[in-house]
Amino acid sequence: MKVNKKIIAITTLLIASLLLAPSLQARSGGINNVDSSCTCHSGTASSDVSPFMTLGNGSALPSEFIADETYTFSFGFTGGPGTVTDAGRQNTGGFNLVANSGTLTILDNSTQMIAGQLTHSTLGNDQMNWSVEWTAPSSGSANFQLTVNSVNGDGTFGDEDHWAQSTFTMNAVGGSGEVATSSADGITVLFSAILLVALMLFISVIYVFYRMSPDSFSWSAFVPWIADWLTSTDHKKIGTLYFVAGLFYFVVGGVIALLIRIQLAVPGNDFLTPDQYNQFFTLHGTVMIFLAAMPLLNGFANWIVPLQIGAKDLAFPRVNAMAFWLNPAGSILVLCGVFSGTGADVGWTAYQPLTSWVSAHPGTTFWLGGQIMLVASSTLAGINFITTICTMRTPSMNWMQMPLFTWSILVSMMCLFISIPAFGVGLIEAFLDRTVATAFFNTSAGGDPLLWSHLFWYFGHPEVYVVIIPAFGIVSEVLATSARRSIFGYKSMVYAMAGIGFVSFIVYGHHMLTSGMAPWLRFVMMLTTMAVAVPTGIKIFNWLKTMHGGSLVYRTHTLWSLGFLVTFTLGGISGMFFPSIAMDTHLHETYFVVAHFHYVLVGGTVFGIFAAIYYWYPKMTGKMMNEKLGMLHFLIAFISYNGLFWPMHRLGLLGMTRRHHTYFIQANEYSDVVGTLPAEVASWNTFITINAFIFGLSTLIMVTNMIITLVKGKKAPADPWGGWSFEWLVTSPPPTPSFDELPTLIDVNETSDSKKENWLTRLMVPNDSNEEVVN
Amino acid sequence: MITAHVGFGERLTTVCITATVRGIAVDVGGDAYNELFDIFFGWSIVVSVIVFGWLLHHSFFYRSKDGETPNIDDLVVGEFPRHYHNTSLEITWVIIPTILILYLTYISLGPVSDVWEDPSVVGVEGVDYFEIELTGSQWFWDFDCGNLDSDLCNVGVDDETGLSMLSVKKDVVYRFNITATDVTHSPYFIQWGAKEDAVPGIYTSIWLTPDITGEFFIDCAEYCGDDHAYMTAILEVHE
Repeated sequence: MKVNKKIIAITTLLIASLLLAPSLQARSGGINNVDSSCTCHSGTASSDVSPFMTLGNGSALPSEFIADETYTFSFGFTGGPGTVTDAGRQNTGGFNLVANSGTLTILDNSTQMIAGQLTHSTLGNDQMNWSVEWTAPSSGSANFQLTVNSVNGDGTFGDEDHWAQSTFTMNAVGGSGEVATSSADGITVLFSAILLVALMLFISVIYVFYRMSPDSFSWSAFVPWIADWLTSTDHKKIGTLYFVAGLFYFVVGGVIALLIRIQLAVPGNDFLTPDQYNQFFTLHGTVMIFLAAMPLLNGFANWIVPLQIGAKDLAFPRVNAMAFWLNPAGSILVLCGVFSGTGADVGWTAYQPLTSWVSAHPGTTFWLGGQIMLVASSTLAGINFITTICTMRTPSMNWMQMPLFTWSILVSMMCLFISIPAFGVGLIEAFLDRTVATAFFNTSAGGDPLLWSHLFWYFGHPEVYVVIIPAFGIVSEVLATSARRSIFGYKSMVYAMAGIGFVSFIVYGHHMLTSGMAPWLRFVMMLTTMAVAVPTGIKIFNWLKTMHGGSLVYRTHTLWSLGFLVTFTLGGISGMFFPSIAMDTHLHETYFVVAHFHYVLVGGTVFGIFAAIYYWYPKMTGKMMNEKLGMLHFLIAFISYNGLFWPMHRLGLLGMTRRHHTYFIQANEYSDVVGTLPAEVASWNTFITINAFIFGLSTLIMVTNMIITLVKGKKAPADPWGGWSFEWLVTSPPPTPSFDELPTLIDVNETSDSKKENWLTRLMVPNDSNEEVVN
Repeated sequence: MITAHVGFGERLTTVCITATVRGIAVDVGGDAYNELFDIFFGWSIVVSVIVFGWLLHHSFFYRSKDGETPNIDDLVVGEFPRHYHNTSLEITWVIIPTILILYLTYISLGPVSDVWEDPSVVGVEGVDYFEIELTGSQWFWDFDCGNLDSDLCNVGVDDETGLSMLSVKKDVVYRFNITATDVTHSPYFIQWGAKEDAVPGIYTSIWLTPDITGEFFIDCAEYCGDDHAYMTAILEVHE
C-alpha cells in the first residue's frame, strides 16, 4: 500500500497544479495581446492622444445598431507625437480594434486581421485613420475596444511614443443591451474535445481493468497491472499500445476534421478565425498521418509480423518499446500549442520560409520538436522490423514463402527507413532556424525555400506509400482468405510491391510541378510518376483474378477489402491526372488534390486498417466481433465516405483552392459578395459537411462493436477464417511466448520440380543458407 | 489561339455525380488543359468500366452460397498454399497499362510549351510578347507593368472591392515574371487554369494569353498565412 499512497499524493499534486496553472486562462491575456498596452512600441499612455470612431460618412457613432446590418466605420486618433508631421517621418500611427460581437471585415490593404483582432498592416502604418466594415450581430450589444498608438516615427521605441485606449458601445435596436450568448470558439471546442477523449480513454482503461476480474476487484492490483503494460517489451502488448494510441489520435484528428467541415459548410463562415483554421488543417494532417495511420499500422505490424514469420518476438524488444514511447512524447509536443491557442499554423507540408521565419506561433517550434521525436521513433521501428524479417523467420521459411502482409511491412519499413532521414534533416534545420536563427531557409541571407520542398517531398512521397503498402498486404491476406484461394500471382505481387517501393523514391518531384524548380526536372517527374500506374495496376488485376473461381465468403473484412478495391482504384485513376503537367497547373493545390489523396489515404489506408481490425481482432482478443454491427458500419461508412470526398473532385475542377479559411461564391440572389466560385460550390460544401459527420459518427459503431465484443463476444477459435499463415496456428489470443517451439513451414509446391533455379530466382531469392539465422 | 471551352464540368456532373445537377456551364482551365482532361477522363471511364465490371461480376458470381464451407485451394494452416498464377496473363496486364501510360505521357508532352515556353521561341520581347512583373506579399498581389503602354498593361484598384486590379489586352501574349517578398505564394489564374509558385529570392515565370474579355480572379494557391483565403486580385481583360 506504500506505492498507492505515493501515487495518490502525486496525482493530487498533479490535479492541483493543473487547476492552478494559468494555461487555460492564458489565451486572453497572453503574448501579443493588447488588452493593456501596445506591443510594437513601449510607449506611455497619454491623454494627449484621443481615439475616435465614427461611421464611414463621418457622422457620429449611433448608440443603436440594426441586427445583421453591415456598417462601415472610420476610426483613428488625433494628437500625440504622430500628428507632428516633420518630413522624413514614417510609421507614425498604429491601432488595434477588438469587437466583442459581430464580424469585422477588412476593407483594404492598410488593415489586417491577426488572431481575430484588427490591426494595421505595413501599408497602413503611416496613417492616422483607417476604416473597416462591421456586420452587426442579431441581438445584444457590441463593445469596440480601440487602442491607438501615436508615434514620433524616429524608428526607435521609447517613452516619447504615446498610446491611448477607448471603448465604444452600440446596442441592438430595442435591445436591452444584454450580451448575446457567445458562440462556441473553435479552439475551445477542440481542446475540450481532446481532453474529453483523453478522459474517455482513461475511463476505458479503468473499465478494462475492472472487467478483467469483476469479482476480485481491488485497487491495489491496479498499479502492478498498469505498470506491466507501460513497461512491457512484449510485441503483442506494444502492438496493443500502438493500437490504442492510434485510435485515440484517429478520434482527435477526426474531431479536427469535423470542426474544419463546420467552418467550410457555408461560404463566408466565421466559426473559426483564419488563425484557428490554419492550426486545424496543420494538426489534422500531422495527427492523421504520424499519430493515427502509422501507429495503427505499426500496431498490426507488431502483433502480426512475428506471428506470421514464426518468431517469438521482434529482434530488439526494448528498441521496440522505445519506438512506441517516443510517439506519445512527440504527440504532446505536436499538440501542446493548441492549449494556448497558438498551435502550429504552417500546414503539414510546412513550406518555407513561412515555417522558420514568419509563423509567430510558439506552437510551431514545439510541433517541429515533436516531429523530430516521431522521426526517431520511425527510424527505430524501421531498424527493428527490417532486422526481424531478415533474420528471424522460422528456418523453414524462404523469402518467397513469407505471407504478403509481412512482405508489405518489409517494403514499407524499407521506404520509411531510407526516406525519413531527409525529413529529419529538414526538421532539424527548421528547428535551428526558429530557435538559434541559423539561415537555412532565410531568403534574405541566401537561404533556399526549395531546399525544404526537396527534403520534405523526398520523404513525403515514400511516406504515403509507407502507409498504403501495408494496406496492400492486408487486402491481399483478407481477399485470398475470404475467396478461399491462394493469392493470384504471389511473386508478381511481391515484385509489384517492391517496384512501388522503388518508384516512390524517384517520383517525389510531382508534388513540386509548380514550385519553380527547373522545367526539365518536371519532365522527368512526369515520366516517372506515370510509371507508378504499372505496378499498382498489377496488384489490382491480381486481386481481381484471385476472386476468379473462388468462393467469396462475405464477412465484414471482406466487404472492407472490396470497398478498398473500389475507392483505391478511383483514387489511383484521379492520381493519373496530376503528372500531366498542363493539367497539373490547374489542379495543383485545389480540392481535386484533396479528393485524390483522401481517396487513397482514407479509401486505401483507413479502409485497409478497418479490414485488418475486423480480420485480426478475434486473434488479438480471442473474441468474435459482431458481424451485423460490422456490416452496418461498412454500409453507412462506405456511402457517406463517397458522399464526403467525391464532390471534392468537382470543387477542385471549379477552382476551389485548398487551405482557404473560407470561400465566396459569385453574386446571386442571396448575396452580393464578390466571390471567385460558382454558386453550386456552397451546396456541395454543405453536402460534404453532412456526409463528414455521418462518416465520423459511423466510426463509433466500430468502437462500440469492439467494446461489446471484448465484454461479451463469442470465443474465437484459433483459425476463424481459414487462413494459412502461422498467426492462425496459435490460440486466440496467442500465449506468451507465442510459440513453444518454432513452427515448420511446409510448402505444398515443393513436391514437384518447382525448386529448379534459374538466373532470376538466384538474383531475387538468395539462398538463405549463406545468412546467419538468429533465433 | 485559345477558344473558350465549355463542357467537361457538365459532363463530369452528368456521368459521375448525379444527373440532377445540370445546366451550369463551367468554364475554367486553358485550352490545353481541357483537351487533355477530356482524353484522360475518357480513359478513366474505360479503366473504371473494366475494373468495376470485373469486380462486380466476381463479387456476386463467385460468392459462396449459404452454409457452404468451401476450400478451393486447400488452404491449411502452416502450409504455404498451392501457387496460383498465369504468367502470360500477368505479362498482359503489365504491357497493356504500360502502353496506355506511354500514350498518355506522350500527349501530355506537347501542351507543356503552353506553360513554360522558352522566350526565344516565342519571339522578341516587346514585340511578340510582353513581360509583367508579379510580386506576392502577405497578403496582396503587386503588379509592375514596367514601361508598357497603359492599353497593354495597367494597374489600378477596383472601386467596389478595394482589390488590386490588372488590366490587360485580349489575345496578347504575356509572360509574368513572378517572385515574392516574404513567404511562398502562388498566383492562380483560375480562368486559365494556370499557376506557378512565387518564391522569395528567385524568379519563376508563366505564360498567359487572355482569350476572353471580362473580369477574372487571381487567387493565392500556396498556403501563406492568416489571410491566404483573401489574397485575391482582379484581372481585367479588354479588347
